[in-house]
Amino acid sequence: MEEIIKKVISLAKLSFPKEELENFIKECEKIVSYFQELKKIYRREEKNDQETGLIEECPLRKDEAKIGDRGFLKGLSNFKGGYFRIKKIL
Amino acid sequence: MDILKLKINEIQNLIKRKELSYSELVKEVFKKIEENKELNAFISIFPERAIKKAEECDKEFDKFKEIPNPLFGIPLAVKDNIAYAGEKLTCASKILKDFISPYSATAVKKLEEKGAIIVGKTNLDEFAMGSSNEFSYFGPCLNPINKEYVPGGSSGGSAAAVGANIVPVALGSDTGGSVRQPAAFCGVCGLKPTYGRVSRFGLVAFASSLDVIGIISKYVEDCAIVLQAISGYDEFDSTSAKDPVHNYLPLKSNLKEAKIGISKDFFFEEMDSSLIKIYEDFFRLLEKEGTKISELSLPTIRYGIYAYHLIATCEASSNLARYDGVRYGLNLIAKDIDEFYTKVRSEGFGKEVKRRIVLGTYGLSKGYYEEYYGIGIKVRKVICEEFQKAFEKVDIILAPTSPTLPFKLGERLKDPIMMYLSDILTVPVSLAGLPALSIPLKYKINDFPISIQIIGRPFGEKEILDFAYGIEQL
Repeated sequence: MEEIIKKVISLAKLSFPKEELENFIKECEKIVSYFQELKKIYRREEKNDQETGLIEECPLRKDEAKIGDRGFLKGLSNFKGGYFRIKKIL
Repeated sequence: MDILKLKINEIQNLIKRKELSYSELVKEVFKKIEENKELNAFISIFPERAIKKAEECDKEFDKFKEIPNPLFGIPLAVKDNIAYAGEKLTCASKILKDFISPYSATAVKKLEEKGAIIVGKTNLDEFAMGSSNEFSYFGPCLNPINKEYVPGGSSGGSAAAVGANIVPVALGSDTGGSVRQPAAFCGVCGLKPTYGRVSRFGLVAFASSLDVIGIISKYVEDCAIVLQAISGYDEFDSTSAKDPVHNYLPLKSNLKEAKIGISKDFFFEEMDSSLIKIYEDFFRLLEKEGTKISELSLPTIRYGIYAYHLIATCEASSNLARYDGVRYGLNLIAKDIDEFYTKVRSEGFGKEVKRRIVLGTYGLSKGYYEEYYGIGIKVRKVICEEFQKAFEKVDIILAPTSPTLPFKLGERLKDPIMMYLSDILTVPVSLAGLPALSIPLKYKINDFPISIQIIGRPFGEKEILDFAYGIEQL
């Protein structure tokens, strides 16, 4: 866990003085384990709710944007072959 | 007479009768700011700009002999994470300590169009991340009821300014309870509108799917006046709602007509028994007044606090990536671009902000995304559904605003989880995007008023304002 948090700190473009780092990591570990409570709860809920289907798939759509599929874009005069045509600049 | 203890309409009546001028009113505000300097409620004040505007309002009133709208010439304060053109927008952070906003937030612009006068920017937890106002680069704000205690957060400065009768109304922002909880701690009203009711344009983003601009006032009517002015669709905020804005005024008590729901799921075992007893007394009082109360089941709301922190930290880590020292931030020297980013962000952000960025980055990392953020989103959906079902049976849900009374300065600083739990009763409403108003009741413990949260249906602000007005009259 300590190594993961150190990696995340560098990914987030942050750094800490040595004397603060140890304490910061400890606090983060404590909070992450607090977040994990939800994981347990969720699994329990999921089990219980298989009959009711209360918790379903993630409500977010899959990130598959297909610009040409949208009807309102097709109606635009400068939208041809799946692309917008814009004025030549150069 | 303390004119700043009056309702907005009462102040305007004094103006009409020529017993007060707008310039005198605004000068009184700055006198009060000076007298209450110890509270540290303001990060910046604009005496010259505000007095000049008040003099213009006086001239206009002398010329036309009428007050065009209730907010004309009324002094207001704005939380320092909301843009006001030409003035500093610090978010109580070192990284933005010298940043001047080039434009005003839509909400501020709308208030100015009505003639309201912005007197200053109020203190907050850095980037609105906190529940005590102790995480401010400019130092903590104190509770006006007892200065040894925190005013709540993150809109602590706005709540303290209203609670100390410095301004009649202030704008705040509410992501997980940042308007309602400080309002409760300082004994004033705090309204979190429905997500999308008020434009977020010009509100510095913390967690974009939860952030809303809210109102803190002494009286429910003043809250309604400001909400009327700032609500509505804004082309600069794609998440602002096109739903029509109701006429919130005049207010009319609906204590007898509204169907009320209460849920034991909002009352935790760990809650102070004296607090629970007060709420029981209050519900009995409502029933005596003719309010119909029924019991509801909202079993998932207790998990809202986990879901909220997962979602909010993930969104914050993404939103705060823009503070890289290039467009915003400190001017430091480094040997390469990577060192520059790291140096600027490490020196510019405070401890709590760094903690949330790290947790959010962790939650969005490959391998952890589904386990953390994904689950948070699912639980959020279930909470929304539970509220939706509940509102098929009732018009309004009542719940405590805070699980505890205000705590002493420094008491929770060393325990971040305890600090996060301060919002346990406000975050479910934020996750569901519902409107809620926290109003102080007439009960007190150690001089601190006990507040109740009035939760409404989406865009049901009129109903909750009317209900709060009814409670205010009890």
